[in-house]
Amino acid sequence: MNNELHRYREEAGLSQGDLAAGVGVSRQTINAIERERYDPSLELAFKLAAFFECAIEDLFDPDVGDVGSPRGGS
Amino acid sequence: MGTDDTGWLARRRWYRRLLYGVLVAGIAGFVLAGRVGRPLLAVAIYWTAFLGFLGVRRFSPMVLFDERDVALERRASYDALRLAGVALIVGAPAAFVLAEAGFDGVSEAPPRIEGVLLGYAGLFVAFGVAYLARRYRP
Repeated sequence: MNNELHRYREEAGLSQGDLAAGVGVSRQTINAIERERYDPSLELAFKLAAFFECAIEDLFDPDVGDVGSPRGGS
Repeated sequence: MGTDDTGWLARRRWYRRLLYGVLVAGIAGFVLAGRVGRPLLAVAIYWTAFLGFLGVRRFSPMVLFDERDVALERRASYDALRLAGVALIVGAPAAFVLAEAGFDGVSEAPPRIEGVLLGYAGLFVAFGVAYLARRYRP
């Protein structure tokens, strides 16, 4: 899953360790998310969005393409 | 936004080192006591260390393993189970055929191999029980 975590963190002037402590995970987990080697749980994704005071879709792009909607829209 | 709690990670790291350190010390103590001919002491050290390990994990003031640790553990368990499955699928019929037919003086698989296969079979039984318990738990 593509994400903008690295950019948000850099703009906030935080280290990976600072961010990790802020959301209660290890520094390695933050590193793995930034390198897109690990997709966080929904709970952690919401925590990160809340931490940066942004919408979750600003941080994460699931890149699922155009899946349409149950009602037939696009 | 932001945090100045830089000591949080260091404390977490300390507790994780304590967790594994207790376990390693227990195993080392077990081996050493066993080598000097004190088997009861060896077992006592081993169990004390294991209880210490559980105690640190249970009572540490912070979560020592985050969701990625859990995900890695789950993935590694899945891979290990697949390997055991392949070994069992390939090995069990071979051991059976050896025992039934015998080839050039080899009448059955070595006991160690049979033990390993039996262990793998037990592992899959345990997996099945755990899976069903998870699936149908209230």
